[in-house]
Amino acid sequence: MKKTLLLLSIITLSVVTSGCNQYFRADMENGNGDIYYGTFNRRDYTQADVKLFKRNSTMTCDGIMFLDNSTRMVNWSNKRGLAKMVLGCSDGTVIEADWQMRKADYNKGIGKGVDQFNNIYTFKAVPKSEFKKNVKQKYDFVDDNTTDNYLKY
Amino acid sequence: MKNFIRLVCLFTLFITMANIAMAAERPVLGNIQTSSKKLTQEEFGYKKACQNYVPYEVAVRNNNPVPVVVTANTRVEFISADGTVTPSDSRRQIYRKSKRFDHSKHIIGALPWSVPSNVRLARNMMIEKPLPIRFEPGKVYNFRVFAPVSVTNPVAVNITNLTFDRKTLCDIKIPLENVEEL
Repeated sequence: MKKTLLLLSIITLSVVTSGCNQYFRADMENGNGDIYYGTFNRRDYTQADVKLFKRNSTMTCDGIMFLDNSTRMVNWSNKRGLAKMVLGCSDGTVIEADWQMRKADYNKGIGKGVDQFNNIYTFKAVPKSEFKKNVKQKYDFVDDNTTDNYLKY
Repeated sequence: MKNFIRLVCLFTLFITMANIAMAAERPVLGNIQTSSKKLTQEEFGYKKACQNYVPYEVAVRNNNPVPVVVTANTRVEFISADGTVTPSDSRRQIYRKSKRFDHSKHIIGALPWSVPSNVRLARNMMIEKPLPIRFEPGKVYNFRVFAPVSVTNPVAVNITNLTFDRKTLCDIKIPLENVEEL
């Protein structure tokens, strides 16, 4: 009985403390047609940290995303949530994107974005396996107290 | 040995002076029309946000023939009357310091109505009028900046590290006092 309780508490703790990472792919519509893979880590029901990696490159982007629709409303079941994402990249690019989240959640959705040089990007959620296949580098999300940059964080 | 130390000191001094000179070289962009308005707590409407920040609504019109764009290193700085430069908090910190206590993060099975006020706050502070990433010629852009309350008597806000040719970096300086609407 004790072992079962311990196991149950460990499982509960691991579920509670694990991140809510979701994964997405971004395609540059014009220009070189670059492909990016990204992930967002939900910090609360309104805000998420975002990390984006260019495929076959060392370029990374950091950013933040704000949901314009509550996920915990009583009538949330069939809503489409809008979200705004801004990313600052290591090569100076700034990408601004609007997402449409299905059921106002972060795990399904499509997005359209533009950078400051008018390149257009399309975003769509992908499974974790596709992200892991294309992004080999280790990464970490920003610390809560980071004040490094206005547009990135 | 003494000569070597002197040489190292001189070299360090030279590098420091060169850095200061280069930092001072970044020009303030001309042909820009600006206006600003301080928002009161009644106008802005978020008590906790106003305890930590003073919101300003700023308008910028780019009268140059080319668009001016931000870079990933763009910062927002507040300049006090005595010349002190204070960097703005990051958008992330502004939101975190202004939001209400979120039950959903700390209590399993949180109350469903604990979050909408934070969604409205994020919409008001970050989504509706964000810093634009591109200033097209002739167009007026309205956005909000939040000066920390620790900044005493801010007279101007600087938007730094903008570019118009992908090479030259420049700033936009927006006065916060005695300004007329665009």
